[in-house]
Amino acid sequence: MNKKDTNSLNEQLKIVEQNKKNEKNSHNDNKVKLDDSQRVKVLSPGRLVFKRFIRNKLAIVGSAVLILMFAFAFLGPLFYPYAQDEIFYEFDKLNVKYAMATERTEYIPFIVDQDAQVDNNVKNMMHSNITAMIESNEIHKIVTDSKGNEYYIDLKDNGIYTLSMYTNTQVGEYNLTKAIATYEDVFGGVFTYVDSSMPSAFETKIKAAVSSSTEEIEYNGKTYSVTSSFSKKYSIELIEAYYEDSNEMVAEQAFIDTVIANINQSSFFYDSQKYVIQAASTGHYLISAVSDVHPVILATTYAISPLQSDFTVSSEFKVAAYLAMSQSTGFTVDGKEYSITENEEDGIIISDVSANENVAQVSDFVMSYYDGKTIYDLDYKAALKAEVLSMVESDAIEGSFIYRLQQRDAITGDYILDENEVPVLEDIEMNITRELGKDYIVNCEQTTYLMDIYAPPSSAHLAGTDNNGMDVLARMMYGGRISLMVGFVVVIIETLLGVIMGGIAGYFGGWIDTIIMRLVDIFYCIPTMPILIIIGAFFDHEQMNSYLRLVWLMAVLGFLGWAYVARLVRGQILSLREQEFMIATEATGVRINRRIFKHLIPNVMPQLIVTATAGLGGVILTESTLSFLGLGVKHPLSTWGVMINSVTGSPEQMTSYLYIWIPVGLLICLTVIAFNFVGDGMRDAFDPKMKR
Amino acid sequence: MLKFIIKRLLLAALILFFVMFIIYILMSSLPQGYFESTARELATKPGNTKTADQWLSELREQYGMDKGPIQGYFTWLSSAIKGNFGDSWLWTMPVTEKFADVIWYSFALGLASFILTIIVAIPLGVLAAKKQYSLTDYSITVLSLIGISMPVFFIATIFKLVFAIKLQWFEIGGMQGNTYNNLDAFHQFLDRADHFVLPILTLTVVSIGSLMRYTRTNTLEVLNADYIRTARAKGLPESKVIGLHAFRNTLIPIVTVLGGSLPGLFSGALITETLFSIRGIGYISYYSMTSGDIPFTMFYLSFIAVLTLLGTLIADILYAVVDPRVRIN
Repeated sequence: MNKKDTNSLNEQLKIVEQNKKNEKNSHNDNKVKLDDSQRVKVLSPGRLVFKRFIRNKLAIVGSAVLILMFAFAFLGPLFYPYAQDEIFYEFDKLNVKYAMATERTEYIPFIVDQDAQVDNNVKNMMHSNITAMIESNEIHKIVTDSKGNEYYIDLKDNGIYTLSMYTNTQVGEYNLTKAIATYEDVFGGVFTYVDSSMPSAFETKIKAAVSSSTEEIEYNGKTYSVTSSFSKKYSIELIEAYYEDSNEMVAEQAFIDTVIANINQSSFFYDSQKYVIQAASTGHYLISAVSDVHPVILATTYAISPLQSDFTVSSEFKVAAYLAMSQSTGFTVDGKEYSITENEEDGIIISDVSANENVAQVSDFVMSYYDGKTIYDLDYKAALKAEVLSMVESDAIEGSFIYRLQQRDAITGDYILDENEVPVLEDIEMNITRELGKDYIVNCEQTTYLMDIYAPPSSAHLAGTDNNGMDVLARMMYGGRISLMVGFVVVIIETLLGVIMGGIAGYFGGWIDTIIMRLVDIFYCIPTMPILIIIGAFFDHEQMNSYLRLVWLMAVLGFLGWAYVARLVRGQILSLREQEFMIATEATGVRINRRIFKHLIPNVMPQLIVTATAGLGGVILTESTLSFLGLGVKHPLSTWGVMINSVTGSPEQMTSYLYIWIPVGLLICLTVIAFNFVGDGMRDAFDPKMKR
Repeated sequence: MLKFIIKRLLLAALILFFVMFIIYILMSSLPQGYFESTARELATKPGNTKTADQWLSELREQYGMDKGPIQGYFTWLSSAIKGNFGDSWLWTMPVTEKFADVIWYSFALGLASFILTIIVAIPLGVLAAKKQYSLTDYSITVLSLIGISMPVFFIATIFKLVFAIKLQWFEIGGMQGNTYNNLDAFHQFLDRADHFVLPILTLTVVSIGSLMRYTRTNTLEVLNADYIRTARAKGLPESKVIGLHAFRNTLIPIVTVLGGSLPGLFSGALITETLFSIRGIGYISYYSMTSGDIPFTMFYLSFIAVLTLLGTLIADILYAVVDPRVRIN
């Protein structure tokens, strides 16, 4: 009864309420919806955290900085035209080594007669022989080689020395014996004859002589010698002097008699022609006719340098020119006639007679551009020579002269032309310094193509260039990429390892917990920085690839840093696992790894995110410090630490390149501060109790 | 209490055993060729009395580098416990002798910056907590964060630029001036102090931030406690509330942390010392490590491990001693 009453009252009220609602809704014809504004709004936990986070000004600043930094490091390079390892070059005025001049004082031998057999020793002694001649004021000198051949050194015109000799032509041989045969005392005796074979009686005599060791036998009134050449081998020679002609010419008997008469002399005259006798081997003499004395080698201190870019000085040309100079005549090479003239201003000039142009200059001054290229400018050569000569005279080591040179544009490197397309000349001071005793090096300002190092900020390079001529802004971007990447990878490795270890320790407890926590203690104690330094030094020693190094660096940092994450996760899980929801998972029989990683870990997530964010800053600091010390990321990879290190080596650099290292340092600070701000903001947002 | 300390000591010894083992494994896993080439390189330096082969045979004998990890480790441990770490290759004298030469420079550096840090950080931290969410609080927080976030080498370079190059107040590096040996004791001290100012400043700026933040957090916690409300309710002046009631309670965790960092005074400042060429243990070890001086490196790693362990041990014990509410176990 009572119950029914209440029920009916309830029913009544419901109807009233329904009517009211209907009445109300009839005006706007709307039904109540779940998202009606009248409902009490409850934010989801995530949105609550987010709302608290964005209320924190520092966290917002941090987030903004981080977003900018990511855009700068990861998007910036996409729009920036330069790569991190692109080297820039420029034309710049630079005091360079421009030219060099050497006074030739050594007499260099040139071979005139290719066929003449000149003793090497004599050839190499040319310079010292000539110096000796100059010292004793001789103009003629006789030298002999080890074989007794005579050579004559003469001073010719223009200070050129020649080496002359007799050339011998062999006319005949004079022999005391004549080889007949060889005999081998095997298989009953084998004879090998040179010309014609001898009768068997001769052979029998030889065999008898061999067996009785007789060295001479008589046969047919002629004497033969039997000499053992080596074991069981004998050579049989007819002892009879004879003369043999070397060429077609048949010598007269009178000549042969003269040869025989003078066989013990070294030379003799026959028909007023000189002959020499040389002993070739025992009993053999070579008789040669001695020809006229003629130059075979000439030695000079001169060098010939071309005056036309299309003219090459061949060795044939050189020899012909020197030879002509020594006789003060002209000469012809390859059918072209050349003349040699000498004047006060240009020295000795060789000109092509038919084309009537100067082709080469002969001088004992070797002058060239410092890179070895030939100087065609005669005036320049004359000016340089004059200055060097005055330096030689006063024994100065430094000198200078002014010369007008064609100038290049400082930006494009092109030669500057005036309105008539004529190159603009400019007075350049040439500074000469003497080096190594006799080399004169010319230094002057030149527009040179070189690496654009330490360029100040400009429109092309917004932050200038560094010590390798690389764009600083590009390297800042790529450096940021590497720093952020290292930070993220290391923190991810740390967190993964830490969550697994901490989760297992916290969930299982007992001896597993003890072991893992001792492991955590051990890893806490391992000094990270020293170990990274040792590994860095080792990698340096092995000259490891810089990409591989980067991977190693991240792996080692991650492996050494998981302990604090494990400790955090374990502490959280210890308290969480006693809570009701965990008892519920146990009661419903959820698998263990699912219980840990699906139910416990998500509850640790807030703390994990906070520590990971703060950890990121720490990792970036470690990486940049290591790179600063030169033991982390290496060239050509760009990183902030290396960039600072490259310009803070000396006080001068420190003050000069402020625009490089201050911005880079600020980038590091800004990134780390931003991570710390965001980390702090997140911690406060996740855990509001901490703040109040 | 004694039981607790003994238990912690034994645990520390056990951990140290394994830490040293890992250090040994790390070092001995470097290729033999690396040892050989660095030994040969360093043996050519002047002042050496031993040859590279002598060093290498010593390394094999004393460090057991050829005996396999376990046996080799015990060989090394037995000589290390006796304080025998062999001869340094780079400094050509016994490792421990070199260590004794340089450790006091590091200690002086560490102590000065430690004291300076405490003097600056704790009052600022308390101040920030007292005026929470004020401009003072924000600026202190931001400044301390900047201090934490600056790489040491950047701060050192800026200090060098400003104080040594631009203002020329202090020396840019090194430990003594050119005329050091001709000065009397007092001026020698001044000269040395002049060289130490910038490194101390650098170390202080780096470490000030975290202590300041720690102080602020702890003070905030204490200020929210009931007994502070009681003190205020009693009508105590704010100076007494903060100075007596709050500060003393704030000190509990701070003393623990500071006590724990005491052994760190000996560990030297690797980067700061290197950048300012202060020949303390950090500088010496840095050059030993980069040039591959194995004996000194092994010593330094073990030394740092011992110091870290000692730090945690002291912090744990102090925690129990300072705060009677903490139950042992």
